[in-house]
Amino acid sequence: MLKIQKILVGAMAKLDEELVLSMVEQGLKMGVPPAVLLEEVRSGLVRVGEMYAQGAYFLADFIMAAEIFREVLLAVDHGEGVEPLNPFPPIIFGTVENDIHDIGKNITMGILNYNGFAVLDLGVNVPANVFVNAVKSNGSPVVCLTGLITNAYDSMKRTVELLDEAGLRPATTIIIGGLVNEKVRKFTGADYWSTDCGKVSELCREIFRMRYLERQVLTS
Amino acid sequence: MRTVILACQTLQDELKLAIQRTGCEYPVLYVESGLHNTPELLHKRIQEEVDRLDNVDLILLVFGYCGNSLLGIRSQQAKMVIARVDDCIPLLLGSAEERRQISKEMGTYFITKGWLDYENNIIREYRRCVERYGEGRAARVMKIMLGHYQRFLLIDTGAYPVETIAEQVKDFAEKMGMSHEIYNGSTRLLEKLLIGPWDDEFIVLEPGEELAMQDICASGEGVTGVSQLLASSFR
Repeated sequence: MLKIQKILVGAMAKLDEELVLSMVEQGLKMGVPPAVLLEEVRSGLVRVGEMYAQGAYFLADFIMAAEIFREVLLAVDHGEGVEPLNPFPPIIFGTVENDIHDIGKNITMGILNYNGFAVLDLGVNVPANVFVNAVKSNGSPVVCLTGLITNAYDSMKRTVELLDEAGLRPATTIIIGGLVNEKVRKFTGADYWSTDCGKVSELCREIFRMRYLERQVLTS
Repeated sequence: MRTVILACQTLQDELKLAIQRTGCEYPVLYVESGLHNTPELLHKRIQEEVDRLDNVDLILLVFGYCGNSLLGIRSQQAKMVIARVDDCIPLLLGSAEERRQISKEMGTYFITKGWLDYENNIIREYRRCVERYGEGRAARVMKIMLGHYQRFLLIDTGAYPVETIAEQVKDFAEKMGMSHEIYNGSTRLLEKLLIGPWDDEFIVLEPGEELAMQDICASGEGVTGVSQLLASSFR
Protein backbone atom coordinates (compact mmCIF):
# COMPACT_ATOMS: atom_id res chain seq x y z
CA MET A 1 0.00 0.00 0.00
CA LEU A 2 2.79 2.33 0.92
CA LYS A 3 4.50 1.52 -2.36
CA ILE A 4 1.44 2.44 -4.40
CA GLN A 5 1.20 5.76 -2.63
CA LYS A 6 4.86 6.53 -3.29
CA ILE A 7 4.58 5.64 -6.96
CA LEU A 8 1.40 7.70 -7.22
CA VAL A 9 3.08 10.96 -6.13
CA GLY A 10 5.97 10.46 -8.55
CA ALA A 11 3.74 9.41 -11.43
CA MET A 12 1.59 12.51 -10.97
CA ALA A 13 4.66 14.75 -10.79
CA LYS A 14 5.85 13.19 -14.06
CA LEU A 15 2.34 13.54 -15.53
CA ASP A 16 2.25 9.87 -16.44
CA GLU A 17 -1.46 9.46 -16.97
CA GLU A 18 -1.48 5.71 -17.48
CA LEU A 19 0.58 4.98 -14.40
CA VAL A 20 -1.46 7.33 -12.19
CA LEU A 21 -4.75 5.79 -13.25
CA SER A 22 -3.51 2.22 -12.93
CA MET A 23 -2.11 2.93 -9.45
CA VAL A 24 -5.40 4.47 -8.37
CA GLU A 25 -7.28 1.49 -9.71
CA GLN A 26 -4.99 -0.96 -7.93
CA GLY A 27 -5.18 1.07 -4.73
CA LEU A 28 -8.98 1.00 -4.79
CA LYS A 29 -8.93 -2.78 -5.38
CA MET A 30 -6.63 -3.20 -2.40
CA GLY A 31 -9.01 -1.22 -0.27
CA VAL A 32 -6.97 1.96 0.12
CA PRO A 33 -9.40 4.71 1.16
CA PRO A 34 -10.14 7.08 -1.79
CA ALA A 35 -9.22 10.06 0.38
CA VAL A 36 -5.71 8.65 0.87
CA LEU A 37 -5.26 8.13 -2.86
CA LEU A 38 -6.57 11.61 -3.61
CA GLU A 39 -4.15 13.07 -1.10
CA GLU A 40 -1.20 11.39 -2.86
CA VAL A 41 -2.36 12.68 -6.22
CA ARG A 42 -2.74 16.12 -4.69
CA SER A 43 0.85 15.96 -3.38
CA GLY A 44 1.94 15.16 -6.92
CA LEU A 45 -0.07 18.13 -8.17
CA VAL A 46 1.75 20.41 -5.75
CA ARG A 47 5.03 19.25 -7.30
CA VAL A 48 3.65 19.97 -10.76
CA GLY A 49 2.77 23.47 -9.56
CA GLU A 50 6.30 23.97 -8.24
CA MET A 51 7.84 22.82 -11.52
CA TYR A 52 5.48 25.13 -13.42
CA ALA A 53 6.60 28.04 -11.26
CA GLN A 54 10.24 27.16 -12.01
CA GLY A 55 9.52 27.11 -15.73
CA ALA A 56 10.10 23.36 -16.08
CA TYR A 57 6.46 22.82 -17.01
CA PHE A 58 4.30 24.93 -19.30
CA LEU A 59 0.59 25.64 -19.35
CA ALA A 60 -0.11 22.60 -21.54
CA ASP A 61 1.49 20.42 -18.85
CA PHE A 62 -0.61 22.09 -16.22
CA ILE A 63 -3.73 21.31 -18.23
CA MET A 64 -2.53 17.71 -18.58
CA ALA A 65 -2.25 17.60 -14.77
CA ALA A 66 -5.78 18.95 -14.40
CA GLU A 67 -7.01 16.33 -16.87
CA ILE A 68 -5.34 13.49 -14.96
CA PHE A 69 -6.75 14.85 -11.73
CA ARG A 70 -10.24 14.98 -13.24
CA GLU A 71 -9.95 11.35 -14.31
CA VAL A 72 -8.74 10.31 -10.88
CA LEU A 73 -11.79 11.99 -9.34
CA LEU A 74 -14.01 10.10 -11.78
CA ALA A 75 -12.30 6.80 -10.95
CA VAL A 76 -12.62 7.40 -7.22
CA ASP A 77 -16.25 8.46 -7.03
CA HIS A 78 -17.49 6.62 -10.14
CA GLY A 79 -18.49 9.85 -11.79
CA GLU A 80 -20.95 10.89 -9.16
CA GLY A 81 -19.15 14.14 -8.53
CA VAL A 82 -17.74 15.44 -5.28
CA GLU A 83 -20.48 16.25 -2.78
CA PRO A 84 -20.24 19.84 -1.62
CA LEU A 85 -19.15 19.70 1.98
CA ASN A 86 -20.71 22.94 3.09
CA PRO A 87 -24.32 24.06 3.15
CA PHE A 88 -23.60 27.47 1.63
CA PRO A 89 -24.79 28.86 -1.70
CA PRO A 90 -22.50 28.25 -4.67
CA ILE A 91 -19.59 30.45 -5.66
CA ILE A 92 -20.53 32.12 -8.94
CA PHE A 93 -17.86 31.83 -11.62
CA GLY A 94 -17.58 33.21 -15.13
CA THR A 95 -15.35 34.73 -17.80
CA VAL A 96 -16.63 38.28 -18.29
CA GLU A 97 -18.24 39.73 -21.41
CA ASN A 98 -16.07 40.02 -24.54
CA ASP A 99 -13.57 37.45 -23.32
CA ILE A 100 -13.48 33.71 -23.91
CA HIS A 101 -10.42 32.58 -21.96
CA ASP A 102 -11.40 30.01 -19.40
CA ILE A 103 -8.47 27.72 -18.65
CA GLY A 104 -7.61 29.40 -15.35
CA LYS A 105 -11.30 29.53 -14.50
CA ASN A 106 -11.73 25.80 -15.11
CA ILE A 107 -8.66 24.84 -13.10
CA THR A 108 -9.71 27.07 -10.21
CA MET A 109 -13.25 25.66 -10.23
CA GLY A 110 -11.80 22.15 -10.11
CA ILE A 111 -9.72 23.05 -7.06
CA LEU A 112 -12.73 24.70 -5.36
CA ASN A 113 -14.83 21.61 -6.05
CA TYR A 114 -12.15 19.36 -4.66
CA ASN A 115 -12.07 21.50 -1.53
CA GLY A 116 -15.78 21.04 -0.98
CA PHE A 117 -17.24 24.25 -2.40
CA ALA A 118 -20.31 24.29 -4.58
CA VAL A 119 -19.53 26.25 -7.75
CA LEU A 120 -21.89 27.60 -10.39
CA ASP A 121 -20.19 28.04 -13.76
CA LEU A 122 -21.78 30.70 -15.98
CA GLY A 123 -19.36 29.96 -18.84
CA VAL A 124 -17.54 32.49 -21.01
CA ASN A 125 -18.45 35.90 -22.47
CA VAL A 126 -20.94 36.39 -19.63
CA PRO A 127 -22.82 39.73 -19.61
CA ALA A 128 -22.91 41.69 -16.34
CA ASN A 129 -26.66 41.20 -15.84
CA VAL A 130 -26.28 37.41 -15.99
CA PHE A 131 -23.88 37.58 -13.03
CA VAL A 132 -26.34 39.81 -11.17
CA ASN A 133 -29.25 37.43 -11.79
CA ALA A 134 -27.16 34.44 -10.69
CA VAL A 135 -26.17 36.16 -7.44
CA LYS A 136 -29.76 37.20 -6.83
CA SER A 137 -31.33 33.81 -7.42
CA ASN A 138 -28.67 31.80 -5.56
CA GLY A 139 -27.90 34.22 -2.73
CA SER A 140 -24.20 33.68 -3.39
CA PRO A 141 -21.75 35.54 -1.19
CA VAL A 142 -18.78 35.15 -3.59
CA VAL A 143 -18.46 36.01 -7.28
CA CYS A 144 -15.32 35.23 -9.28
CA LEU A 145 -14.83 37.22 -12.50
CA THR A 146 -12.05 36.16 -14.84
CA GLY A 147 -10.53 37.57 -18.00
CA LEU A 148 -7.24 37.73 -19.85
CA ILE A 149 -7.63 40.57 -22.31
CA THR A 150 -7.61 44.29 -21.74
CA ASN A 151 -11.26 44.94 -22.38
CA ALA A 152 -12.17 42.29 -19.83
CA TYR A 153 -11.29 44.99 -17.28
CA ASP A 154 -14.12 47.18 -18.53
CA SER A 155 -16.52 44.25 -18.33
CA MET A 156 -15.38 43.44 -14.79
CA LYS A 157 -15.93 47.07 -13.80
CA ARG A 158 -19.38 47.08 -15.36
CA THR A 159 -20.30 43.87 -13.53
CA VAL A 160 -19.20 45.30 -10.18
CA GLU A 161 -21.19 48.47 -10.88
CA LEU A 162 -24.31 46.52 -11.80
CA LEU A 163 -24.07 44.41 -8.63
CA ASP A 164 -23.87 47.70 -6.76
CA GLU A 165 -26.89 49.17 -8.55
CA ALA A 166 -28.86 46.01 -7.75
CA GLY A 167 -28.08 46.54 -4.06
CA LEU A 168 -26.14 43.26 -3.89
CA ARG A 169 -22.67 44.70 -3.43
CA PRO A 170 -22.44 44.74 0.40
CA ALA A 171 -23.46 41.08 0.63
CA THR A 172 -21.12 39.97 -2.16
CA THR A 173 -17.37 39.51 -2.18
CA ILE A 174 -15.93 39.93 -5.65
CA ILE A 175 -12.68 38.23 -6.67
CA ILE A 176 -11.08 38.91 -10.04
CA GLY A 177 -8.61 36.58 -11.73
CA GLY A 178 -6.64 36.25 -14.96
CA LEU A 179 -4.19 38.94 -16.05
CA VAL A 180 -4.93 41.16 -13.07
CA ASN A 181 -3.07 43.09 -10.40
CA GLU A 182 -3.75 45.67 -7.71
CA LYS A 183 -4.22 48.44 -10.28
CA VAL A 184 -6.82 46.38 -12.12
CA ARG A 185 -8.56 45.56 -8.84
CA LYS A 186 -8.80 49.26 -8.01
CA PHE A 187 -10.01 50.10 -11.50
CA THR A 188 -12.74 47.46 -11.42
CA GLY A 189 -13.81 48.05 -7.82
CA ALA A 190 -13.47 44.35 -6.93
CA ASP A 191 -12.52 43.21 -3.41
CA TYR A 192 -9.66 40.84 -4.18
CA TRP A 193 -7.46 39.81 -7.07
CA SER A 194 -5.54 36.61 -7.62
CA THR A 195 -3.40 35.03 -10.29
CA ASP A 196 -2.96 31.84 -8.31
CA CYS A 197 -5.65 29.17 -8.75
CA GLY A 198 -4.81 27.48 -5.44
CA LYS A 199 -4.92 30.68 -3.40
CA VAL A 200 -8.47 31.45 -4.55
CA SER A 201 -9.63 28.38 -2.67
CA GLU A 202 -7.90 29.53 0.54
CA LEU A 203 -9.37 32.99 0.07
CA CYS A 204 -12.88 31.59 -0.41
CA ARG A 205 -12.56 29.49 2.72
CA GLU A 206 -11.60 32.61 4.66
CA ILE A 207 -14.46 34.65 3.16
CA PHE A 208 -17.03 31.96 3.97
CA ARG A 209 -15.63 31.63 7.47
CA MET A 210 -15.89 35.36 8.08
CA ARG A 211 -19.34 35.69 6.57
CA TYR A 212 -20.56 32.66 8.46
CA LEU A 213 -19.18 33.97 11.74
CA GLU A 214 -20.70 37.39 11.06
CA ARG A 215 -24.06 35.75 10.52
CA GLN A 216 -23.75 33.82 13.75
CA VAL A 217 -22.96 37.01 15.61
CA LEU A 218 -25.91 38.79 14.01
CA THR A 219 -28.40 36.04 14.80
CA SER A 220 -27.22 35.33 18.33
CA MET B 1 13.28 66.23 -33.00
CA ARG B 2 15.40 63.20 -32.10
CA THR B 3 13.17 60.16 -32.45
CA VAL B 4 13.67 56.49 -31.65
CA ILE B 5 11.39 53.51 -32.32
CA LEU B 6 11.18 50.91 -29.57
CA ALA B 7 9.47 47.79 -30.88
CA CYS B 8 8.58 44.19 -30.20
CA GLN B 9 10.68 41.82 -32.29
CA THR B 10 7.58 39.86 -33.28
CA LEU B 11 6.44 42.89 -35.33
CA GLN B 12 9.77 43.28 -37.11
CA ASP B 13 8.64 42.30 -40.63
CA GLU B 14 5.62 44.60 -40.61
CA LEU B 15 7.53 47.49 -39.01
CA LYS B 16 10.23 47.28 -41.67
CA LEU B 17 7.56 47.46 -44.35
CA ALA B 18 5.90 50.47 -42.68
CA ILE B 19 9.30 52.20 -42.40
CA GLN B 20 9.98 51.54 -46.05
CA ARG B 21 6.54 52.85 -47.05
CA THR B 22 6.76 56.01 -44.97
CA GLY B 23 10.43 56.62 -45.63
CA CYS B 24 11.08 57.53 -42.01
CA GLU B 25 14.62 56.83 -40.93
CA TYR B 26 14.49 56.69 -37.17
CA PRO B 27 16.70 54.15 -35.42
CA VAL B 28 14.87 51.05 -34.22
CA LEU B 29 15.51 49.14 -30.99
CA TYR B 30 13.92 45.74 -30.63
CA VAL B 31 12.82 44.07 -27.42
CA GLU B 32 13.02 40.30 -27.66
CA SER B 33 9.81 38.34 -28.33
CA GLY B 34 8.06 35.96 -25.99
CA LEU B 35 7.92 38.32 -23.04
CA HIS B 36 4.21 39.04 -23.34
CA ASN B 37 3.70 35.65 -21.76
CA THR B 38 5.02 37.24 -18.58
CA PRO B 39 3.68 40.81 -18.68
CA GLU B 40 5.69 41.87 -15.59
CA LEU B 41 8.89 40.89 -17.37
CA LEU B 42 7.89 42.64 -20.59
CA HIS B 43 7.06 45.76 -18.56
CA LYS B 44 10.48 45.63 -16.93
CA ARG B 45 12.29 45.22 -20.25
CA ILE B 46 10.41 48.08 -21.95
CA GLN B 47 11.03 50.39 -19.00
CA GLU B 48 14.73 49.40 -18.98
CA GLU B 49 15.09 50.28 -22.64
CA VAL B 50 13.22 53.56 -22.18
CA ASP B 51 15.45 54.48 -19.23
CA ARG B 52 18.57 53.65 -21.18
CA LEU B 53 17.73 56.08 -23.98
CA ASP B 54 19.40 59.41 -23.53
CA ASN B 55 19.32 62.56 -25.62
CA VAL B 56 16.03 61.56 -27.26
CA ASP B 57 12.90 63.75 -27.58
CA LEU B 58 10.40 61.23 -28.85
CA ILE B 59 9.94 57.47 -28.42
CA LEU B 60 7.49 55.61 -30.65
CA LEU B 61 6.45 52.42 -28.88
CA VAL B 62 5.47 49.61 -31.25
CA PHE B 63 3.78 47.25 -28.81
CA GLY B 64 0.33 46.14 -27.81
CA TYR B 65 -0.89 46.72 -24.29
CA CYS B 66 -0.24 43.00 -23.68
CA GLY B 67 -1.72 42.20 -20.31
CA ASN B 68 -0.79 45.42 -18.50
CA SER B 69 2.82 45.34 -19.63
CA LEU B 70 2.63 49.00 -20.66
CA LEU B 71 0.84 50.08 -17.50
CA GLY B 72 2.98 52.60 -15.61
CA ILE B 73 5.56 53.00 -18.40
CA ARG B 74 7.12 56.47 -18.50
CA SER B 75 10.08 58.43 -19.72
CA GLN B 76 11.61 61.28 -17.76
CA GLN B 77 12.91 63.09 -20.81
CA ALA B 78 11.06 62.02 -23.89
CA LYS B 79 7.53 62.22 -25.14
CA MET B 80 6.10 58.77 -25.96
CA VAL B 81 3.46 57.70 -28.44
CA ILE B 82 1.62 54.36 -28.24
CA ALA B 83 -1.22 53.04 -30.38
CA ARG B 84 -4.44 52.63 -28.42
CA VAL B 85 -4.69 48.86 -28.89
CA ASP B 86 -5.04 46.06 -26.39
CA ASP B 87 -2.52 43.83 -28.10
CA CYS B 88 -0.57 44.01 -31.33
CA ILE B 89 -3.21 42.45 -33.62
CA PRO B 90 -4.81 45.80 -34.60
CA LEU B 91 -1.33 47.02 -35.59
CA LEU B 92 -1.29 44.23 -38.17
CA LEU B 93 -4.91 44.52 -39.28
CA GLY B 94 -4.79 48.28 -39.70
CA SER B 95 -7.24 49.32 -37.00
CA ALA B 96 -8.89 48.37 -33.75
CA GLU B 97 -12.25 48.47 -35.53
CA GLU B 98 -11.15 45.81 -38.01
CA ARG B 99 -10.13 43.60 -35.14
CA ARG B 100 -13.45 44.22 -33.41
CA GLN B 101 -15.43 43.16 -36.48
CA ILE B 102 -13.42 40.00 -37.12
CA SER B 103 -13.60 38.87 -33.51
CA LYS B 104 -17.33 39.50 -33.42
CA GLU B 105 -17.82 36.91 -36.15
CA MET B 106 -16.30 34.11 -34.07
CA GLY B 107 -13.51 33.31 -31.60
CA THR B 108 -10.46 33.97 -33.78
CA TYR B 109 -6.85 33.03 -33.17
CA PHE B 110 -4.60 35.37 -35.14
CA ILE B 111 -1.27 34.26 -36.59
CA THR B 112 1.57 35.98 -38.44
CA LYS B 113 5.02 34.81 -39.50
CA GLY B 114 6.59 36.84 -36.70
CA TRP B 115 4.39 34.97 -34.27
CA LEU B 116 5.54 31.59 -35.62
CA ASP B 117 9.21 32.59 -35.91
CA TYR B 118 9.78 34.36 -32.64
CA GLU B 119 7.12 33.38 -30.17
CA ASN B 120 6.76 30.19 -28.23
CA ASN B 121 3.59 29.66 -30.19
CA ILE B 122 0.81 27.13 -29.98
CA ILE B 123 1.97 25.06 -32.96
CA ARG B 124 5.43 24.68 -31.43
CA GLU B 125 3.81 23.82 -28.12
CA TYR B 126 1.66 21.19 -29.82
CA ARG B 127 4.77 19.55 -31.28
CA ARG B 128 6.44 19.51 -27.87
CA CYS B 129 3.35 17.89 -26.37
CA VAL B 130 3.19 15.26 -29.13
CA GLU B 131 6.75 14.27 -28.24
CA ARG B 132 6.04 14.17 -24.54
CA TYR B 133 2.52 12.77 -24.37
CA GLY B 134 1.80 11.29 -27.79
CA GLU B 135 -0.50 12.62 -30.48
CA GLY B 136 -3.85 11.77 -28.87
CA ARG B 137 -3.15 13.41 -25.51
CA ALA B 138 -1.41 16.38 -27.14
CA ALA B 139 -4.47 17.04 -29.28
CA ARG B 140 -6.72 16.72 -26.23
CA VAL B 141 -4.70 19.29 -24.28
CA MET B 142 -4.47 21.70 -27.22
CA LYS B 143 -8.22 21.51 -27.77
CA ILE B 144 -8.72 22.53 -24.14
CA MET B 145 -6.27 25.41 -24.59
CA LEU B 146 -8.00 26.59 -27.72
CA GLY B 147 -11.32 26.22 -25.91
CA HIS B 148 -13.66 28.67 -27.52
CA TYR B 149 -11.62 29.56 -30.59
CA GLN B 150 -13.20 28.48 -33.84
CA ARG B 151 -10.75 29.59 -36.49
CA PHE B 152 -7.17 30.52 -37.24
CA LEU B 153 -6.71 33.70 -39.18
CA LEU B 154 -3.38 34.10 -40.91
CA ILE B 155 -2.80 37.81 -41.41
CA ASP B 156 -1.24 38.59 -44.78
CA THR B 157 0.46 41.89 -44.13
CA GLY B 158 2.33 41.90 -47.42
CA ALA B 159 5.64 41.89 -45.56
CA TYR B 160 6.53 38.37 -46.72
CA PRO B 161 5.05 35.65 -48.94
CA VAL B 162 2.29 34.24 -46.79
CA GLU B 163 2.40 30.87 -48.59
CA THR B 164 5.56 30.01 -46.66
CA ILE B 165 3.55 29.47 -43.50
CA ALA B 166 0.01 28.82 -44.79
CA GLU B 167 0.47 25.06 -45.01
CA GLN B 168 1.50 24.48 -41.39
CA VAL B 169 -1.34 26.69 -40.13
CA LYS B 170 -3.80 24.74 -42.29
CA ASP B 171 -2.46 21.41 -41.00
CA PHE B 172 -2.74 22.46 -37.39
CA ALA B 173 -6.20 23.96 -37.84
CA GLU B 174 -7.43 20.71 -39.36
CA LYS B 175 -5.98 18.67 -36.51
CA MET B 176 -7.79 20.93 -34.05
CA GLY B 177 -11.05 20.80 -35.98
CA MET B 178 -10.93 24.56 -36.55
CA SER B 179 -11.34 26.53 -39.75
CA HIS B 180 -8.50 28.58 -41.23
CA GLU B 181 -8.40 31.65 -43.42
CA ILE B 182 -5.89 34.02 -44.91
CA TYR B 183 -6.89 37.62 -44.33
CA ASN B 184 -5.46 40.80 -45.80
CA GLY B 185 -3.79 42.84 -43.10
CA SER B 186 -2.66 46.45 -43.29
CA THR B 187 0.23 48.54 -42.05
CA ARG B 188 -1.98 51.68 -41.97
CA LEU B 189 -1.95 52.01 -38.19
CA LEU B 190 1.80 51.30 -37.98
CA GLU B 191 2.50 53.92 -40.63
CA LYS B 192 0.32 56.43 -38.79
CA LEU B 193 2.23 55.69 -35.60
CA LEU B 194 5.45 56.55 -37.44
CA ILE B 195 4.36 59.76 -39.11
CA GLY B 196 1.18 60.87 -37.33
CA PRO B 197 -1.22 62.51 -36.89
CA TRP B 198 -1.56 61.11 -33.36
CA ASP B 199 -5.28 61.45 -32.88
CA ASP B 200 -7.70 59.32 -30.84
CA GLU B 201 -6.08 56.14 -32.09
CA PHE B 202 -3.01 56.94 -30.01
CA ILE B 203 -1.96 57.71 -26.49
CA VAL B 204 0.56 60.55 -26.20
CA LEU B 205 2.50 60.71 -22.95
CA GLU B 206 4.42 63.86 -22.10
CA PRO B 207 7.83 63.51 -20.37
CA GLY B 208 7.32 62.31 -16.80
CA GLU B 209 3.75 61.21 -17.44
CA GLU B 210 2.98 57.53 -16.97
CA LEU B 211 0.52 55.31 -18.79
CA ALA B 212 -2.55 54.84 -16.58
CA MET B 213 -5.35 52.34 -16.52
CA GLN B 214 -7.75 55.02 -17.79
CA ASP B 215 -5.64 55.54 -20.91
CA ILE B 216 -6.42 52.09 -22.13
CA CYS B 217 -9.74 51.19 -20.52
CA ALA B 218 -13.26 52.54 -20.50
CA SER B 219 -12.59 54.60 -23.59
CA GLY B 220 -14.78 52.35 -25.68
CA GLU B 221 -12.31 52.95 -28.47
CA GLY B 222 -9.70 50.56 -29.63
CA VAL B 223 -9.99 48.08 -26.84
CA THR B 224 -12.44 45.45 -27.87
CA GLY B 225 -12.79 42.10 -29.43
CA VAL B 226 -11.94 38.66 -28.35
CA SER B 227 -8.20 38.45 -28.20
CA GLN B 228 -5.74 35.68 -28.20
CA LEU B 229 -3.79 36.21 -25.09
CA LEU B 230 -3.40 32.51 -24.72
CA ALA B 231 -0.37 34.36 -23.82
CA SER B 232 0.14 33.69 -20.21
CA SER B 233 0.06 30.20 -21.47
CA PHE B 234 3.45 29.51 -22.84
CA ARG B 235 5.84 31.15 -20.36
